[in-house]
Amino acid sequence: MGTYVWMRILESRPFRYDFGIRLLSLGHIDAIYARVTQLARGPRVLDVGCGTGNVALRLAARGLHVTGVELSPEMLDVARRKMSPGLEARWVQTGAVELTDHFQPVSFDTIVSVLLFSELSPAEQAETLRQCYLLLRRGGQLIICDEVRAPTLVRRSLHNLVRLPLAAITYALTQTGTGAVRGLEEKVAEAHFTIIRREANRLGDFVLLEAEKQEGSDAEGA
Amino acid sequence: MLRVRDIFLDVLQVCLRVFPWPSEPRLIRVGNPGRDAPVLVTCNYDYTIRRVMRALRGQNVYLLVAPTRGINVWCAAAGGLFTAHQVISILRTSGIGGRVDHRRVILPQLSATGVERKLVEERTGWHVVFGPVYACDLPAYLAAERKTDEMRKVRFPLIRRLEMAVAWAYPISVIGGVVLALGWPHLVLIFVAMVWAVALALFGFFPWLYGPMGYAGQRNPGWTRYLVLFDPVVRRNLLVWLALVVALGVYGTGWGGWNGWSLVGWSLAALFVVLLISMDMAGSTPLHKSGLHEDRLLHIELDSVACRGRAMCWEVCPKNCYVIDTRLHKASIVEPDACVQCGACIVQCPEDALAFVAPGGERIPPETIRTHKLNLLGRRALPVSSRNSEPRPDQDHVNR
Repeated sequence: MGTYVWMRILESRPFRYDFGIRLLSLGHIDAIYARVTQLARGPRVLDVGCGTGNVALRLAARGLHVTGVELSPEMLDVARRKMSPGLEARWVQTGAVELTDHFQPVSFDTIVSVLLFSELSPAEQAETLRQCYLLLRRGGQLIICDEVRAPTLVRRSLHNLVRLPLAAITYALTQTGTGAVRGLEEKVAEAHFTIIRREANRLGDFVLLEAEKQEGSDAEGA
Repeated sequence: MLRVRDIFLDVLQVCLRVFPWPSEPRLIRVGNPGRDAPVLVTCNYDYTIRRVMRALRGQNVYLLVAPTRGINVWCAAAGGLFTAHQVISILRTSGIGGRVDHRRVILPQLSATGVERKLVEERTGWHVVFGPVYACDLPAYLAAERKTDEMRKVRFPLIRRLEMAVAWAYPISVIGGVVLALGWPHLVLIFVAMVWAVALALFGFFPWLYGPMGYAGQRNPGWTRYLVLFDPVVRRNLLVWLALVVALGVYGTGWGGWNGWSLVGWSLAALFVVLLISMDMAGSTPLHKSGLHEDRLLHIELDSVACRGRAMCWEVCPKNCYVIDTRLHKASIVEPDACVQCGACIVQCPEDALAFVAPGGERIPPETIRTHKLNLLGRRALPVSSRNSEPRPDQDHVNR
């Protein structure tokens, strides 16, 4: 078992995930969770790649009907443990390219996804977006938050300067990391969504995209 | 013919064997595959992919690289990173369905620990077959379309043992060497030599040091299990240490000009390295279960009433622990002590006739093992009882 040492550390990763992401984002992640929660219109919301439920639980606290989808059962265990009494949420353990196996077409008003796309291969990103399109009602809302490549060489260098030591420390402590998504906006547009909002941090290496499945859209994401 | 790049990558990846090395999940055409070409799946650990490709030279097949986070097949499967979902993902996103006329996909046998065959078949319509453990057996397997007992079994030959020795020695000697170089540069060489000698000797002599049984019995309780001296399984590793002390003594008095204290210091350092590598050495090999936690030395319980002898356990067991009575249609466990707790038999059993039983008598049911990958390593025994009430994989669940 070659990567055995790595394995031993990895198995407890979900329990350190929140700490790792907070460290990696220098504490900004809470503001990002809050912003996504604020933008989501609902009332039927799907959180794809919900992890330990940070956004899903905030949405549930707003009274929205939340379904959290996550591949890792351990992450979902943490999410369930974090649920305060009185909150209601539905948790489904499955992959991002298996959404249509679980949910009916046009059954959600909003789909959110924070820090998931950077964990998917390009082919998985395209397939996940296609399925999200099918699941959203017309006029439905897609919110994606993820790390992207900074737009200019100067910014990319700055990003690396700040990011690399931080990523190394975070990885050593918590085995949590993220990678940049390439061409996220193009992929969202290719899946027939219309981007209506784009917010980025100063370095331009983290974006929030809000997109819509247009009312008059004929394409059903074939 | 090996190219320079391949040799360079081989050396580098063996040195960094304990770290993940991801490669993009994709479809690879090997040779000139037609519409009836076999479809194989592997992990996206680059070293594995390159070895599989080498083994498949001359074949005409499709190879699907599943997204397992750059971790090898068995570790990813045992750690929940190579499951039915990764196989479903690559079957759906690679476009393989449009390239072949059949729906039969061959997975590496060791992925059976993580990939629930039934789930892949229900979701995708592909028929899942577990091929041989090792890529080098693929040509013979593809030609005969059946697995021999040897193809089913994990092996730990000298070349793989030396690979593990390098995987340990390289990071320890680099980290220790850098630290020493900051204050005591004259000690770097002897330290590095010592680390490599310990690692090569421990893994080189592994079959003689450990014997065939591993942790079939119990280990010592509490912290004493970390002391090689008292551990019945790894006590013989002290022979390696003693040999090293003699070598250090010869070097120190002959060339090093050491005094008595230097020799004591180096002997203790050597003992530390022996202890470090021995801590869970058997568990880091394919042959034995991990012995770090005696409460996790599980055994397998077979419900012979439920068993219908469909032989999935026999098909996926990497230690050939099972035999099947084809007349009575029943499985039986003939080598219970050889079990490495990979859990593949439990995950795959169509009748749910198998389960783990913890030393305290708690039964860990198949559905828990399928979701939480409690096998081989890890947090498995920790919340055993609370996990019994967890939902099944893929089950929708509403919390109130």
